[in-house]
Amino acid sequence: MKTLLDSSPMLPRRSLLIAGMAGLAGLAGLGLAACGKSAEDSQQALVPAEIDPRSTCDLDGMLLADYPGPKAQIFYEGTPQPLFFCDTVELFNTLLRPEQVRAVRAAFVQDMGLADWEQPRGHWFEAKNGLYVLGSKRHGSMGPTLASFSREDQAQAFIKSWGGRLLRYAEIRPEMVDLSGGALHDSRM
Amino acid sequence: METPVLTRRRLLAAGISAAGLTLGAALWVRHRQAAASPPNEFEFCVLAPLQVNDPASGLGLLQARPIPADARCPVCGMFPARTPEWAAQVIFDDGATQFFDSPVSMLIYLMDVGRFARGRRDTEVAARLVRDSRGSRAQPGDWIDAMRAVFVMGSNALGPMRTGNLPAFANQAAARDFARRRGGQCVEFTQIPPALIRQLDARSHLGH
Repeated sequence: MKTLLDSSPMLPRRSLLIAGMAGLAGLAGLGLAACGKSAEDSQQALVPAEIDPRSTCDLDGMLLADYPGPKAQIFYEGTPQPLFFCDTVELFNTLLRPEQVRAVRAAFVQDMGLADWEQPRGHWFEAKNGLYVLGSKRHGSMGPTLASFSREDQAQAFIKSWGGRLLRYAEIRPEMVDLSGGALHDSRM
Repeated sequence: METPVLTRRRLLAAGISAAGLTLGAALWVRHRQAAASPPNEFEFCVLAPLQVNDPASGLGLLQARPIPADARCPVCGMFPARTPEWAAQVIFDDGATQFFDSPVSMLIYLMDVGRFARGRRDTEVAARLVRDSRGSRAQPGDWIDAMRAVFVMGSNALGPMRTGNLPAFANQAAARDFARRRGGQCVEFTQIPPALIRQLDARSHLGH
């Protein structure tokens, strides 16, 4: 490196320095990412995590891989790993709570127009761009669920087979995703 | 640019080596993460290990144990301590215990003990305990022997997984009273049809 710099004219030397700095910055960035300290990367595109046989629901501990229906994940500010949800009802119940402790960077659900209902893997997309079917006969990991779709024609095809009605993200209300009873359930003893 | 050919080539070399370093580091980090992640083969016992008997607990070998907060159901992964009014436990003849979120999960487990608990047999199961469903989350009902309990099947009560379950009662009268209010019919443990258990099993139907 030293001999290289010594023999170069002024301008290239600076360019060399810049190239070296860029390389170092890249390394530093990687180091941070590896340590899970990349809190300042909110502008970066988030990559949804994938379900493996050990992934469990962060709300109730349930295994994700063994159960049908769309799963969900939320990336919170300051946390490199997402929180998993075994069901879209739990996702919305969490997102629609009046008080949020941490800022949500992004939430992802699975596109059931593409994923296999019995064993959905991949096909993640941003929850706020989704179309949801409420009240269908098709159950998720926790009984009645919100089936998530990125395309309206596929959501409509699902409704034809399984019933329910189409809702946009902003149309989903807390009372539709009550975990203890309400529109979907009655869990009183 | 007036950069001499040689220097330009050196610049390129420096750029490439920096990129190479970055890529190398990225690969190394990935490799480390891959090495640190668990093996592909998934074992239930890793998620929900049997809790060995603790002689210092002062409890009898086959007496109901308090549910540890971090204990998980070997069937579904849930934390039984979070829904204590529905919880169940199986105690083996050496006192080792497995906790469940609900009677349905316990029944799924009992249908295939060796699969959920490697090296264990159903003949080693010495106690099957369920909660009397007259309790609440804040004040769960008594632990009762599943073999003597009366279960209500087909009621509208939803278990911890927000689906149908098998609430248990210490006697016929309590079970009948529940069934009158919430629907369903009363059955004893041995009368619960395996087909019903499979139907209440919410796991993906592929491979089951």
